[in-house]
Amino acid sequence: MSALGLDRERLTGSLGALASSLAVAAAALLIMLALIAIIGYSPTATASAFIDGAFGGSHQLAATVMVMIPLVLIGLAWILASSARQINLGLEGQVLMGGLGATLAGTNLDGLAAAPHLALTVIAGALAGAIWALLPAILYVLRDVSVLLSSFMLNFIGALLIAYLIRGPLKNPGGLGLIESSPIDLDALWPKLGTSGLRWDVMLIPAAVLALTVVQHLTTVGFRLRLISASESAAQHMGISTKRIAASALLCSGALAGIAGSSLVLDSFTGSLTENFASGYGFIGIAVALLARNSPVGCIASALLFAALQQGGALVETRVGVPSASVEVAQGMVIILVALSGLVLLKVSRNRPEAALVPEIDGTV
Amino acid sequence: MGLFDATFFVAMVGFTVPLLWATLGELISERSGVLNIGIEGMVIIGAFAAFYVAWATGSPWVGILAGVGAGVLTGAIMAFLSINARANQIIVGLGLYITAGGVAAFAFQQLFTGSDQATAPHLDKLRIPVLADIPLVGKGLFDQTALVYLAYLAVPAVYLLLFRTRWGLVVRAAGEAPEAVEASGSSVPKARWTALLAAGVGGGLAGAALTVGSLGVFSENVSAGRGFLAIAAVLFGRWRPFGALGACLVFGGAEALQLRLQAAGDIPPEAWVVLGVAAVLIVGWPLLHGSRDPARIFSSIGLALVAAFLAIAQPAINLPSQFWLMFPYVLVLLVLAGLVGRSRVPKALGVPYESS
Repeated sequence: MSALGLDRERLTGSLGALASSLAVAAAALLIMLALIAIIGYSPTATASAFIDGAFGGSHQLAATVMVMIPLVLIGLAWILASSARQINLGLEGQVLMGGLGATLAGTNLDGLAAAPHLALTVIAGALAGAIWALLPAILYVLRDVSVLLSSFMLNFIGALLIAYLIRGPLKNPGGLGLIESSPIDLDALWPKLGTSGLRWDVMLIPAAVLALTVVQHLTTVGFRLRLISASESAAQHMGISTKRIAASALLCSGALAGIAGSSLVLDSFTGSLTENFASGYGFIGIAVALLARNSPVGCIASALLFAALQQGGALVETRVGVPSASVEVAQGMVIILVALSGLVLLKVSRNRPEAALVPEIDGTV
Repeated sequence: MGLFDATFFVAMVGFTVPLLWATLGELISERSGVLNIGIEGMVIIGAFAAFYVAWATGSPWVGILAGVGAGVLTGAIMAFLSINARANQIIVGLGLYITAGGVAAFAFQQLFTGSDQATAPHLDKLRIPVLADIPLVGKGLFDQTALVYLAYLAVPAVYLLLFRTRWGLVVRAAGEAPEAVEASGSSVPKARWTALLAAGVGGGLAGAALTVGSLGVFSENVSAGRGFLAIAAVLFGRWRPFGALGACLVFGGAEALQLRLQAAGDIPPEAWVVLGVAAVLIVGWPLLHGSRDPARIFSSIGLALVAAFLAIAQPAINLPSQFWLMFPYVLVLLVLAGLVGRSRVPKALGVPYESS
């Protein structure tokens, strides 16, 4: 097996996965379009509005890429946790906390130069996300508590905490009755990337994808993670502390989600913490990873689809009148179709354990 | 008892009953070994179907049937995907939650655009004479819709179904030791299928209770995470029907209290008394069942003393409403951490069954 795992068998396996992911994406879009046509909207008008909304001009393209940033990061966060056999259903909460951490640093550290202020703001987001993953990690290590359930419960606590803070201690005193925090200092924002309409945080996409790929394939940590995902008991027999690795993977997963949250706040229209700034991103990010079949590079393509759905769906609503909830239907359908296509792949290659693309959950939930 | 008046109990029952339906449904599916995250989707789609059909036909009862039908249909999809197609339960549940929420929102936006808030006919309250005149709790418990009275009956019914019938035995075994079910000649897939259909009934009724069982209006966040809260309630109720009832009462009580306290200013002493009693009951419950765990005895006494102190000292504390709403999730984390009694998760929960 070569360093990056690019031997022939793997290659055909990933080509099959790629083909099935493309098929899933195409099927979801076609089903959606068919439904919209049956209801009575013009499918051609819908499709062209969708493409215009997502890719129609440099402005639309920039908006789509902007949505991709958090989606890719959250997708990677899911991949990292599930490579250690952990179901991190708490991504939504970790994203929220990341936004909160970034807001605290971005509104408070006055007098800093721009570069360190931005750095501290992003780091604060990462830390806050990791802290929100810390409790599930501790409970898992010390008491074998299901990460799935504990991290899931923390989503709701995080959302309520933010709902309280932006009405109380963090409320913008100069706000015009809007429920939001004070705006983040301008020098804590990512610098603009030329005239593209994007900011430099778009570079987080290639950086994070590269980092995770390198960790997975070229480091001992990555080797251990792959051992654990192949067989937890075998890894334990080899003297690997699976719990410690799982806990670290969870913390890093939370940190990635936290950075995603920081970008959501920093790139937001108001530049401040609002109630629903992350609504649903945590779950759609999971869908991104699932469609990418847990491949970090694949997350870029998969996030592009979900970001395009969101941006294109908005124009479809204003121009053709199709309710924007059609986007949610398409997103959910992608998840279900991915789950179904896993079965098809499993049947095609019964003898390849990697074909079970979604990590099995351990006995204790 | 200014805080805990008849209005409080009306609000409490109002919050508890929809949650209870969803919780009972989730309980059955978890007992069979399926962790059904899609329950939130079942609630939303059930709420919309009940609302829409009641609006279209003019009959709330036909609406309720439609809500149950939508929930059961979602349960069937979940069952097909997670049992027959052996897809990951969590993933499928997540996908169904997002899809069902999207379908309900889409249909609502499509059918009711521009119109002012449409109102469907809702269930009338059936006042039970005499009982409804009980001071304080009478109005909340016995001047309610038929869906509420049905919920009272559903708790013992689910208990009997799960613990006194052959079906219940097979369902519980499917969640604990699926191999044993297969060895004894029963079918795990069949048990989990029926359990998921039952979960659909629960989720659908929860949704119906939120729309036609309430004011007859639908909004896209009508469920407000009640399906997810049901997952927490199953856990807090330790996978038992009467435990689930207790959990829903505690959660519903917290929500009603939050609503009442928004107007009350500082937390009044009677709230400390009630919170203290609730805390001692939650922590000390196993003591009534023969447990002699000293940590539990001491913490019960400690909690009672703290509550008594707070009730007498009347500190000027005013918790924001969000903290009261966090309460159920914090409780569940404590349960998960084993600080408030150990919970015993069904062994095969979340484990797909592969027949050999």
